[in-house]
Amino acid sequence: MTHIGAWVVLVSLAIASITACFKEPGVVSVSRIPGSERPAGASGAAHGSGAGGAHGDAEAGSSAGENAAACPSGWNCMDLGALGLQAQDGKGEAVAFTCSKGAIMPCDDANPADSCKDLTNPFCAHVTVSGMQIVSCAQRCTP
Amino acid sequence: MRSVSFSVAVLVLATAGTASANTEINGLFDARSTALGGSGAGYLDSAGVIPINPAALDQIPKLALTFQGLLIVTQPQAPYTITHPDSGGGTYQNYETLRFDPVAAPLFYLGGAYRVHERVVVGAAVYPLLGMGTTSAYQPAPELMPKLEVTNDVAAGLGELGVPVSVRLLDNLSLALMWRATYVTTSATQPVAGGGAGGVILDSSGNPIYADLHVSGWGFTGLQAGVFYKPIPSLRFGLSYRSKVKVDATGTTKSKNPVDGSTVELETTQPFTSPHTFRAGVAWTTLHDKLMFAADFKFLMYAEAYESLDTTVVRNGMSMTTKTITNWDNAIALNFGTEYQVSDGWWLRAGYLYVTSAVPEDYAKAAMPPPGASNAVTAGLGIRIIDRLHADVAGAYTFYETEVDTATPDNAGVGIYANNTLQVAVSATYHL
Repeated sequence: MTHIGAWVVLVSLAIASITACFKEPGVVSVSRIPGSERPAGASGAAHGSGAGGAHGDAEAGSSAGENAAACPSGWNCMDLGALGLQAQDGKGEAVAFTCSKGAIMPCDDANPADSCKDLTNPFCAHVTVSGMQIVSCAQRCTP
Repeated sequence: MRSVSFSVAVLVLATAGTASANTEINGLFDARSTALGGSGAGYLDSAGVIPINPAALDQIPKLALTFQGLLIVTQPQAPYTITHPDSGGGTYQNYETLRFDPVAAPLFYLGGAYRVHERVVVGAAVYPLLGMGTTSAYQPAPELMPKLEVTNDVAAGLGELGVPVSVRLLDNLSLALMWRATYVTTSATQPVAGGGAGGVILDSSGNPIYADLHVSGWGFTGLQAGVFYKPIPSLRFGLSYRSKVKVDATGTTKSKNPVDGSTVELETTQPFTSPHTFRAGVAWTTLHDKLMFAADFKFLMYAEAYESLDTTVVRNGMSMTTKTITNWDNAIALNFGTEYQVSDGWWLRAGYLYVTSAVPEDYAKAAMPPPGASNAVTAGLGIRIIDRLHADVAGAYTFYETEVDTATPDNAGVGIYANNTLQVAVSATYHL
């Protein structure tokens, strides 16, 4: 075998190895987290259906809970404690559940109504997460 | 207050980039060593031996120049927390082990050594000690937030310039000392963790807030010492010690304030440590030097080097340090290899490599090497192209999977942490 022939064989083997040594991306295993269950209306996430898994591997979704009655359309009643968050209103009272869109909504402590126009009875919640304090629009609700 | 507080969250994020350090990569310097399971302290006679055991440079007749190109392809896998809706309208969470696309990176080695005296060899080499990049994209709440995809991009590199001097004290005993300049670079783009359903902080449009970290730095205090001993012609021993080097990499972390959308830029300092490392190797030849058996043992003192990852950011003159407990363990590597000269100018090689991870199961994270241990099989061949030019080619496959069955506050949860890796290396050495 010539040297050039040997190198061609080796390079071909290398390319074949690269493609053969790895598996398809996706979900490899699933383990339920004990105590992670949250009742309807407490997730704070929008409902809908979609794909799941790494790189969007197809997996049928299902409908989540509808918004609690206390929240305006498009808002969900979020269980802050279940998400590991601590929040207080302007009077320093704890906030357990608040209407949310799943994102931080800027809020001016001096005038929450102007900051949070979509909410009917808004206040500014001071939310602590990972040592960080964020001020966001909030409205008490019942899940 | 909001901006300063947000910088704390970015700071937490920034620590993940440094955590990408791999505990041991085989085959970074010479394809002959790669094919023999990463061994080499007791026999390697190319300029590729400089980072392994500089004292073995004494085997060079007059001049050696070595170049290696290495392609490393790895497929990361780790558990992530995924939120799903349940049938009653509520939610539940799983640890889901996600396997991502393989990631490839080329790494290069260039070294040279020259005999300036019948008893003295000097050299220089530039080489990587770590080179990795990983990209992952997943949906933290695929049904609840179908448009939310979170990506993590981490790239880290640790390279050195080594300048050794090897001195032959006795006819069969050489000592070496090498000065090392160490360069570290880390780039990481990762979402800022928060309390939303996706586990990340979102902006007012529902998109994840990311932090881009770029740090780099030099260290000039590294040393390496080596011993090469040949009691009889067929038996060679090598010993090597690399000193610990801690480099304070500096740069910036850029992100966006989730409340008002303004840019947040933080001066960032992130230390990176190459640990104290001891290495011993032996090589025995027989059948008129046609057959060689080699073995190396390596001990890496990660435990005292990585008790925690401390990252400091400065903004508006205020300095804040986040300490992430890592509690890494010391690691060992066992390398075994054999080489047989099948004909004039052709050598066949095979090897095996066992490496324990520095990362404990209780502290395993997706951006770190998996816990447990890896096993690698290696093979290759050597070719004498012309009298003074040798080429070597090697391949290695590393099996690196560990199932963790206990979730802790400091690990990513229950699941299978894996980093199976394929390496293909080609090197050439010119001798005089």
